[in-house]
Amino acid sequence: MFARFKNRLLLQWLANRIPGQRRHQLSIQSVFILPTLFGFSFMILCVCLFILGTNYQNNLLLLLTYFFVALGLINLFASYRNFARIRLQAKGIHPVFAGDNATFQMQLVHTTDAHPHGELKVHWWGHATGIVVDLDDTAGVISLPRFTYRRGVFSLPRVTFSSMYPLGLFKCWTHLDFTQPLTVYPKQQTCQVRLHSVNDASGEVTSHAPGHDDFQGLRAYSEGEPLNRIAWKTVARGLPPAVKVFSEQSGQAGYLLIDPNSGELEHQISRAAFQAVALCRQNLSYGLKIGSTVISQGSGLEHRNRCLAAMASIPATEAANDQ
Amino acid sequence: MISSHLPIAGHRASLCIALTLGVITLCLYQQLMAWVLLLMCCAVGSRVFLFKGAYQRAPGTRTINMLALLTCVALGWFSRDQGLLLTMVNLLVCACALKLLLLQKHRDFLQVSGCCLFLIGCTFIFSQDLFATILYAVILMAALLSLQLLYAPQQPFKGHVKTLLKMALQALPIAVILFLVLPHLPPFWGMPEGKSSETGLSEKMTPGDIANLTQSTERVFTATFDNALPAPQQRYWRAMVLEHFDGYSWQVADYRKARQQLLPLMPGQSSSEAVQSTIDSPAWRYQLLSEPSGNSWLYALGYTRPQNSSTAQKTWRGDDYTLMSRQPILSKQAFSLVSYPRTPLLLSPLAQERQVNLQYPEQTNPRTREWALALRLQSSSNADYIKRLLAYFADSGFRYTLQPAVMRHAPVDAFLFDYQAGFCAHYASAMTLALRIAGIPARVVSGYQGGQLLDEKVLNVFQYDAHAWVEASIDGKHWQRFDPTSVVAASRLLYGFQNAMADQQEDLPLFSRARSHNSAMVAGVYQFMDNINYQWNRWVLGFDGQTQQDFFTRILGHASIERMTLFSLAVVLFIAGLLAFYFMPRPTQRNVKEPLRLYQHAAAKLHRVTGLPRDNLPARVYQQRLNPLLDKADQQALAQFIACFEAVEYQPEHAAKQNLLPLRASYKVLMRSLKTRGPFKPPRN
Amino acid sequence: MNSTQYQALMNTLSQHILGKPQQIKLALACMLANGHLLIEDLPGMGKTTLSHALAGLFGLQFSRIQFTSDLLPADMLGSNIFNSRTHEFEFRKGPVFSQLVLADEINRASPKTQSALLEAMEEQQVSIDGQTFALPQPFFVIGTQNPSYQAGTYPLPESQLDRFLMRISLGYPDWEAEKTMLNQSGGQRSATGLVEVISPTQLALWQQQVSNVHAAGAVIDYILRLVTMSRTTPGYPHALSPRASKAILQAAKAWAFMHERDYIVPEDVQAVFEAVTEHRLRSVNMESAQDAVLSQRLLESVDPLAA
Repeated sequence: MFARFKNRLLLQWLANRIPGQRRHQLSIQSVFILPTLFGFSFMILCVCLFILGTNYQNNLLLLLTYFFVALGLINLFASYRNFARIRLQAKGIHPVFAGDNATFQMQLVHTTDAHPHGELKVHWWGHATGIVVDLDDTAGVISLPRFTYRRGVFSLPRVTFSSMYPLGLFKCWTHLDFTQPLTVYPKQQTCQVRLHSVNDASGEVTSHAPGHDDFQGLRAYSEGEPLNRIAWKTVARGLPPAVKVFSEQSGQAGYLLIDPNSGELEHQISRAAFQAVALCRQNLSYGLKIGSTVISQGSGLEHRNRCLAAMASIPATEAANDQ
Repeated sequence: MISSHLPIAGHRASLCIALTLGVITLCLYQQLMAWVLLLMCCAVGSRVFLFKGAYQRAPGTRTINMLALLTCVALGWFSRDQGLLLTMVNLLVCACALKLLLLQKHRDFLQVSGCCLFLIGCTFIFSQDLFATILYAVILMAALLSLQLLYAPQQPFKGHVKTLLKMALQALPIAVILFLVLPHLPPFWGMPEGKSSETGLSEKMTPGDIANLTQSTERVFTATFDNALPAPQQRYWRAMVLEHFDGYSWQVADYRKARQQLLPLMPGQSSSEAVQSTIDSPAWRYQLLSEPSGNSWLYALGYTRPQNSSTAQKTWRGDDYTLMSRQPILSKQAFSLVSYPRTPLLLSPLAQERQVNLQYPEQTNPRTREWALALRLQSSSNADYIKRLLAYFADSGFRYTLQPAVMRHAPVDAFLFDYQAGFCAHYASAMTLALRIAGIPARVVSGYQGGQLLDEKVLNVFQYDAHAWVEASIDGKHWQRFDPTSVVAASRLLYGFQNAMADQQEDLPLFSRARSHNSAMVAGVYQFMDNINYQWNRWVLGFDGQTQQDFFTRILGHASIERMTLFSLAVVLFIAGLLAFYFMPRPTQRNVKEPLRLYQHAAAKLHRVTGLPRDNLPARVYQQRLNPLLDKADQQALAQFIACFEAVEYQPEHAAKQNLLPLRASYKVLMRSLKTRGPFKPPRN
Repeated sequence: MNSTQYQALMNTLSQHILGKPQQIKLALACMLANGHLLIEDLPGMGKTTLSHALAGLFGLQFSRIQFTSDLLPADMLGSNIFNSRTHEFEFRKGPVFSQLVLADEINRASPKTQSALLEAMEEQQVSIDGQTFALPQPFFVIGTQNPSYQAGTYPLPESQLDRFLMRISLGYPDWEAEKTMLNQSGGQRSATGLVEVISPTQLALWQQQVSNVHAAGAVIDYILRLVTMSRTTPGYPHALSPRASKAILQAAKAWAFMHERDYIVPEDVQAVFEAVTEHRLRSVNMESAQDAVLSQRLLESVDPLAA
């Protein structure tokens, strides 16, 4: 409870301090810097060396101590400067189905003169683990995976970047908000494809009608069927005669229906998602009707994505929220 | 903190830290036990193999723990005869070696690097000369490099070195300032000593001892005189007084040792304080820069006092006029001293001193005893006796040699009557005994005699200058110095050991310092290195609280609180300024050319006046956008200015040059024209 | 440039292509810069009219090749034909041997034919059966392309788009212009009725003068900054090549020349920038309306007057 409250306060403060942007240039405003555990140990080491140097009246030891102190000081600035050279731009995130990993891509923008160096640890706000990117190595694109649990349109949380270059005495970090929406399509649930006519919801429209276009399968032969449909190959193998069945796209395409007030809304949505994907694969035309909103008929990948996005943004029912 | 696992093969950082540790270990070979060295070598070797990928599996935690246990036991066993400091160093090296085998996580690596940095610090305890310092600086860079390699594994090596050197060079001035400015504190507490190395004089002198010493060319100390140097015959650096004689060897008397325990605790008690009133000029003022000897005695010319308070804090004087450091000298240290050659050394009012200085075992050297008693009877006075004694050494065919025969039984008898060949210890020993037999208080003083001139005022004294001579009290009040060796080998006194021993040098290695005087070039090289070393010792190693004080006084004059505050403030500001200089973003190096600068000023002004920003528009387009917002006169001025600007910027060279003056003129016109307008105020709606 | 000749040229062209002064000027600049022009537009926008007009006004020998999917390279370049009388092969020149070639609907032809044309454009010569034939001088190609990808078209790949100095699209005329056009449609001017205003020699002279236009260091820097920006900033599918920067400079020179200056100012660069670079920056399968115009974005983000 307290942790959640603290988290909220912190996020609020961050929103003021580092407002969300598509493009970030790190600066004094957005970079935090503190000594690491090793940094503190380094200080203790300096104290030890100082005591040793004083007790032995050893000037070189003292000089070494002061050199370490100065190096620490220089490191503070060098660390910050290196980190502040990072420029980032969100490249966007492709929608995924719930339960898959979405990949958020960011582009490191290099200015001509000075590149940042060293390893950069990237992780989502509040996550302990993340990925490590070597700034000397990457082609400039950082791909940060994010696991998705449920459908919806979310705004991406802040991304935390941290670096301890050059000597690990200080850790620079920042939390950036790229203001990118993440659309998570509903999980697919395998089912039969069923299209409904929009006017009378009761009438089912099957998308497959017997026809001449596409080979669909074999069926046992019954007398009276045309001879040119018999699959002679199977007969030649000594199997009982079968008939080739062809199908063609039905002239009248239908709609996928989702009732937003239904008790099993999530299942409905999942099934609809599966059907949309299946229909798209067969390049069939279909529409989507969610309650009163209607997406008119269409086909192709873009249409599919539009439908899936619409499904993703259906507000969840109470029951789903409780889960 | 990233706690992910480190890669093994091809991990540059691990290899770098391993090699660094290896080199440090080799540098510390004198301080380490053989098996510790071996352990580290194995660890480094295994790291190299792991790096190459020749060997895939690093040893497991359990193996290492077993090894660690064994190591601890062994260290504990050896620690008794090693002393705390060396045990600590050994322990650190062992820990590093074992951890090196077990580099699995970032944390392990950081622990090893921390230890490595500390070890580098420790090496400075053991050697501080210039070349060692340069070597350690390189090692330090390597250690830091490995840290940097850890955090930027893919950065090219050259870039790493560049970054690191840049940081180091930036840090160095700050370090030097801190070193100069921060107070040099006295030691907080006594530190464990390493086992004293066997250089230098020892508290026990048996003939044969000093001969070994003379072969050593290590420097003992450097004396920098403020004014004139003492003549060669006067350069008797007293180190300690050996009063107890058991017939074979001389050593510091027990009562003296007891007083040495006591005296540092109660200053002012020393009897030599009484002499203060009788101090005569002249005085020799000098800075004594002692090499680490592991002992606490110092070297002084006759009656000697500390020149300033910081030296006074570090030293105390025994009532035998020897000077002692309160801490054993484990690193180079400077002492400012003043010696008064004319001031006589007084016999202690305590009866004990007289008694000890007359004591000798009567049975050990019977022939000497008879001979001395006979000689005393022949002499009219103590002074006459001493004269006859010295004459005996001069006339009876005594020889000075560094390789005397072994004299086990009745050594003085054997020396005086059988072999008649020996070195300073033999002569001093024989003469002192003879004096004591005759009832004259006498003692052996050991120290150094002579020294080599580095330049006019700087004297280097080496181990081969070790010497022993006699102090006797003829009148029972003052100690007087006699050097029987000089009777036999006068040249040693006048020209120093090296010339005196010119005929005995065949055994020395070819390029040893003692031999160097044959060749001018080698001598020149030695001279040059001595000079560098001297400057290093004097200014870096010898920089102490007093030097710092002088430094401040020279800068600030009288050091008052306000001045000190101001000074510290200035120092802090200076460091801040340095940091700002390093890290402030620089304005672009290319200086903006004049036409462009004028245009940018004008555009900024126009923006203020009209509220319309330029926004990457070219000159003419901006002008067109501005026109509706300007009045006639302004428009004209602007048009003129833009025309000139275009001409200068874009036309061929000759036209551009012609238009520079009109551009300036039109700029002025425009600015004057715009001056009348106030800043733009956005309309309120 | 002789301003009266230029005015005459512009006037005549404007009478033929109504309400498109900017496009006409760009097309002219392209010719002055000795580059090829790509017109991308829907059918019926006056692409052909413009090319006819240009050919007529400059007195250039004109030929038109309608690209279709079955057009073979030989149909365009010409072929060796056996002369039964002389018993020798003789070369029959194809339509490409003209001073101004209108390659209509270039994206309908097969890639093979396309590349044959583009090769001729680049090399200014044609090689057939080991023989090389020089193309007439001056040699211009005006390619037209239908922007909507219909079935059976082969959109030009980016590498070949690069060969065209400029790409313009005419777009719909505005209300007034179209009205005027309709009013005079009774007596529609035919291209054949055009009178030569500028001779080819005059054109060659002008081209010579264009290449002598002075480009100051500041302008060169500006072009370089633009090009570099396209290479270093994400969001540009294709960065500008050195050929592109050469093209920008050449076109800007022509533009400056047309405005009677013997030096370039950044405005010249900006004026031609979109026409020269947009087709090089854009990916073929990028939807045209997807984003703000890429070249415009570049112009906005680079200061022409930075030091």
